[in-house]
Amino acid sequence: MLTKLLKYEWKTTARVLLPIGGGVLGFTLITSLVNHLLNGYEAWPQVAVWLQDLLNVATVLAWIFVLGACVFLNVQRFYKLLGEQGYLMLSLPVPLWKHIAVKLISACVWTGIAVLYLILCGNILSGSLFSFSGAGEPFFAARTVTDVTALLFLAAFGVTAVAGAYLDFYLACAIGGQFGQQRLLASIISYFILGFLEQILATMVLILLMFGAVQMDSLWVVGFVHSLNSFWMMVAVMSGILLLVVILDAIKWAVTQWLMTSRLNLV
Amino acid sequence: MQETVMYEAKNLYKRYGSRAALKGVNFAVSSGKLVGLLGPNGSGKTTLLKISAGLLTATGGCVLIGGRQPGVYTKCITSYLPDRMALPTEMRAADAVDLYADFYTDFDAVKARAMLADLHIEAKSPIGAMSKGTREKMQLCLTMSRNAKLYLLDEPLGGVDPAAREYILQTILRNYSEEAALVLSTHLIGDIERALDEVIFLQEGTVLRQVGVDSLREETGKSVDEYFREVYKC
Repeated sequence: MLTKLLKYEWKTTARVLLPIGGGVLGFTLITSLVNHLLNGYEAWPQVAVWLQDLLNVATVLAWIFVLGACVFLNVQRFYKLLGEQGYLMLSLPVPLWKHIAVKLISACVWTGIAVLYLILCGNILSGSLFSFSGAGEPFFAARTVTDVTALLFLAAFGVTAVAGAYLDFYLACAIGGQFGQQRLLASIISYFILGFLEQILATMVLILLMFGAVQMDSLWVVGFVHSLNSFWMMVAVMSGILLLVVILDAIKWAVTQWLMTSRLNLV
Repeated sequence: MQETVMYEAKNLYKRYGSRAALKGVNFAVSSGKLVGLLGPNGSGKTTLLKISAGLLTATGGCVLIGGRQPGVYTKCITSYLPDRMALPTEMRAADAVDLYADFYTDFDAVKARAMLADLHIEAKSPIGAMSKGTREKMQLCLTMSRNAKLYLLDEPLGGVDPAAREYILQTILRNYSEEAALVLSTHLIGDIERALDEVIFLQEGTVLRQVGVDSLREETGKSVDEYFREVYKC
């Protein structure tokens, strides 16, 4: 059932995002071509240079639009699940967690594709399409265990951060869905309140860690930490932070699922 | 022959904030019965069907379908038609048929395609480009193309012209399985009365009466429509 749901989610989202992506890719190619033509000569009038600059700015704005459309569409898909489309989708014989999982997987994958797409567009515009000398360099240059570990942590942080960002949106939608009227407004307000609460929580954790660090001399931890080399120290700290982020994401998921299971209230 | 209870509500309550939509609803519907859920606007018909379809959580009491509370199993055996357009507008007609075929093992895709062909709906037609009436008919065709054990139809006759109403009625009667229970909510009783076995009258969130249509006629000497008008007279 999960794969079937994913199939429909992909078809629906692809129908919107692929034409947008294709259009912007074409626009980027045109801009790159114009840059290539104009940069080769210095005799062009000033107007042509201004137009070239405008074209480049428009291209960058189009990239931002693609990323924005990707996020907006994936959030809207979830929001619609709590509205009229819920009458069809939530009456399918599928456990609710699968609906949330499908939306989240789809959103994360599309965001990942959008990031790769933007790197590709950046390379096209800069005229270094196949060199990958910029953002991709660390991935290809990684050789040692430390490099690979760092990259794996980076990828894990990226996935959990993107998932966490979408789960924030989903939780806000689920809270907004508890209201009989003005659901969109309630969802937006909930999103900002959730963001504020998360920041307060993060600050409190940092303060606790700071006090913990001051007091660490009196604990066995310090001896343990000093016995580690810098690599394992990094692994321990990163794993701890990653675990915290995963726990926070799991809490957001659980609350969203509870709201949609026990307090479901379609308009 | 002993009748099997397919659908029942036991002391069902639903509150929206301070307003009670259902106040202790009790009834039982057996397999093979075609039951009209009748009541004026705001009597709790849609709320009851939404709870039964698993789209709303009851405040108290329970609904049982095939002996189980609403969940994945009951959704497998219940074919629900909401009172609004729920098919995604970005889909094409063929996608909607595929969606039903993928998720419901009791869905008859051949029957659905034949019904859509009768309505002159092309497989590639985007749902968003269809008229409201066509979309409603399409949704009904998909709902009735399932060989479900329980059909829950919320206002299938509401908001359509008399000709379409006749089409919808015929589609329901031709396609529902004789062994299944069918509950449909409406306040357009005159159109559906001749087909009903039983009626459940709802008033302000309570069951006023559940009675067989023939018994009601014999007892009161009135049609269900006339009885309804008398009971719910403003």
